[in-house]
Amino acid sequence: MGERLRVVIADDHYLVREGTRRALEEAADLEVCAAVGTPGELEEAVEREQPDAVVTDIRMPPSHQMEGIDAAHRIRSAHPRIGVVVLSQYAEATYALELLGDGTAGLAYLLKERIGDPSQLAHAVREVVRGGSVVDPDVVTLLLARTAHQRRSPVATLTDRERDVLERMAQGRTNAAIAEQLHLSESSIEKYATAIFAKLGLRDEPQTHRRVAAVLTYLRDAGRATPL
Amino acid sequence: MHRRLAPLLLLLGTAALVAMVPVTLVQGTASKELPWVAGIGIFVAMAALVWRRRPQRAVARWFAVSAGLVALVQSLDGLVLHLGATQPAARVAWVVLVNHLVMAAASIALVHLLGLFPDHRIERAYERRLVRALWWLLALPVLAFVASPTLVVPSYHQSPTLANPYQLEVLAPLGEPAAAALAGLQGIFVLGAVLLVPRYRRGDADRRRRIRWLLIPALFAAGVAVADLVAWRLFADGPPGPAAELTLTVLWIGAVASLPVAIAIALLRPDLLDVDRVIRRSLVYGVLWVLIAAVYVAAAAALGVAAGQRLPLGLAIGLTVLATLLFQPARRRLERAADRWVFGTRTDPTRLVARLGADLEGTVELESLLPRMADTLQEGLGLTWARVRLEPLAPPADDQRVPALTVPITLDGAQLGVVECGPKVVGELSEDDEVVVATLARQAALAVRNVRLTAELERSRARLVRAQETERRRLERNLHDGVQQDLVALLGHTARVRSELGRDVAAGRAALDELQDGLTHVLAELRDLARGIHPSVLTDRGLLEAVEALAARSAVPVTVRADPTLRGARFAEEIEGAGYFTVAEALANVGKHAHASRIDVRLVHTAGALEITVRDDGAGFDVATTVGEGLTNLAERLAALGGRLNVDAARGTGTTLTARLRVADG
Repeated sequence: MGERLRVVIADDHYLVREGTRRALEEAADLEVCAAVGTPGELEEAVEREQPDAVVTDIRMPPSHQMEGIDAAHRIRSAHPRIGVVVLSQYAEATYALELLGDGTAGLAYLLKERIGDPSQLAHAVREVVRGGSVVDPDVVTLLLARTAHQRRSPVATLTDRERDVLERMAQGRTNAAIAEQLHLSESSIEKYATAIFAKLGLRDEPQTHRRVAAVLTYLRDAGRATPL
Repeated sequence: MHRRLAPLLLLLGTAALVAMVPVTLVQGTASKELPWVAGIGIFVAMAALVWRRRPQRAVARWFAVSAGLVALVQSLDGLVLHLGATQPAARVAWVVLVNHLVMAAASIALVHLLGLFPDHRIERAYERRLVRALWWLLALPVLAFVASPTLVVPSYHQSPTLANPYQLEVLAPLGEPAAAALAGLQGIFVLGAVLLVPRYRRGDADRRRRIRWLLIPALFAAGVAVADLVAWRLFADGPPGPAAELTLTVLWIGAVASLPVAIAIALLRPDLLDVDRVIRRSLVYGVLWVLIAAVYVAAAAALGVAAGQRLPLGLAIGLTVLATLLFQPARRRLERAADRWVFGTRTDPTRLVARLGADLEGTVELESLLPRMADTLQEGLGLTWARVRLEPLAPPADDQRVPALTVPITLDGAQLGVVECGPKVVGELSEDDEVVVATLARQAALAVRNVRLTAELERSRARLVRAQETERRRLERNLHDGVQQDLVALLGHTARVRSELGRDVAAGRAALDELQDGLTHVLAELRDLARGIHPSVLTDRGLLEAVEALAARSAVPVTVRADPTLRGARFAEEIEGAGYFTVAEALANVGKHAHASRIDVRLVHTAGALEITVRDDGAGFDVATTVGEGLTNLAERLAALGGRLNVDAARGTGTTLTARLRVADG
């Protein structure tokens, strides 16, 4: 086993912060090098520690709005090497799209309760460090539902299996991972992916995080209100 | 007849009468003429009084016209005599023609007056035809002018006989009869008396009583005539002495003057004997009025007399007439002062309305507002009673009085009620009074609306407070019975985990998994609760995205369509909140009741307005009978922001909910 991944945590709520630290430290390959409570402290810690990843609350002082998302964008543009996981109490597609709208590489949007599932959290950290993307399954479900509601939505024409695959693609899973989850071969997942992209009118992307970006962009645009 | 003609003739007649004063003084005929001037002055005064009290009545107009014309005839008579002595016949003839024309018109006007007496209208068609035909008699003076051999001058003066220079030979045979007819023309007012006979026989007790007033001058005149005859018999060898002559003159003047007085009384005060406060007041007023009129005439006459002693006669007459006209505004002002003094604010609409306005300031309840309005009206116009009623208009069972005047209270075309006025204590409602009542009715409409709006506002506030209370209770219930109970259960669960772990690690793990599931469930519930109170997306991202998020969660597929400009557009918090909860309430209702398969949400942003429409294809409902508390509260919430909620639904055709909100652009 190589170097452990160094993680900085930011959350203004002490119990949540500590819970997050414990969840992360359950994974042997992760190490929490700093735990802070404000966006300012987060930036200082990032500069000081030069971590591999940041796990941040979406909502922090002073205004308790979307400081976590702003911090994620700043960190990503200043240090493209550092992956950022945003933990959110909102199961809302809007916030995920806000975070991932301008590029998904090295970013993850997870609901806070995932700290109760340390393996999922650790997985997200590893993914963003690798430059991948992770979107919380609940949020993906919402995104798909929203899109499918629109009239004449191509999403509505997908088969159940195709939907399953699309959902997992949106969550940031690789073909291999999807194949494993669905107990299918990787080649059939590739076929499904081709079919899905054809139905949605998208070009298949070889890299996973690009694929996530394409799918999310599609879902964002297709799920939006139709112009009058 | 033109409305302005009556006061104009009254004023002209007054001026002519007043001008007589200096003229007779200069000519030395004052002792003979002035008593007649005074008698006709009474006629003019009575006509003016009736005109003032009943300006809208035709009978008042004809009274005024007759009086003015009679006064003019009186002064023209004097002028003819004066000119007859000094001027060539060619000039006098024209004045005589005018004199006769005015005299004829005066006689016809008198018939008109009697024809309208006492009920202000000509009743039968034959009466109307007869009265109209009388105007042909105006041809008589013209005929005399061209046919009579001599100028026909007032018969009761010893004046020189002047040959008529304008006589046409062809018409000579008609001359004598024309002159005779002209001399008798004044007698046609007897025709008016004749018209009254059938009217008296047809009439009810009240009308008969009023017509009987005219018997007084008739009997008076008859008595004087008899006295006159007797006097001439007594002094068979010559005219009676100066004292007797003066007495007879005064008696005759009294007889003549008693006619207008009787007419005025019959027209104005049929109930003179019912002495009550208002009548006493109006007697005071009448006396005051006569005094003011007398002072007015006296002032003008005094000026004329003073002028007559120093200036040429023509100039003195001109000055007197001028003074009469100039003193007119002063007289009017004095009359108004007397009016106010006696009747308070009687017919001054602005004052009446102002008084009502002051009443309105302190009134917020219809129960007290309406009676106060009625009181103001009753006092202000001197009515026997007044009543203000609102829809529905079924009259109270114990109050079957028939109003003399009913004016609807309307606002924006809808009738809110009526103002009803009983008859006046004295006299009848004039058009001015009607204008006052109409003005009051308009004020009443506004007042009623104000009161209703105030009441509605109070109700609405109470509903809002209640809704807030209900909402708090709901939250409290959700927290206590939902989340708190769940947490208590989970606490119990942890105890179980602890004991399980002591006995069997595998069972302990399973219990821990359950604990985690339970916590996840509580979290989801808490999240929903928080979103229900106020969604974070609305705060952070605005209305459209919040609506999109709402739509994503709906069990029934929702299509959201919106103006592209709405993406990222931000409005005031309360506007966004109202818009969001409109859609939330609508979607919740559809989910609960409508069994719909599709919902369409539209958000349209036009200049200054935001329109949100939620349409479903579900079961619909009957708007008239079932509008839930949720929609009522929503409507209140929108109304509080100057917005409006429209629910368009019917069984089987789905429901369309439209909310309109005013928004500040920019």
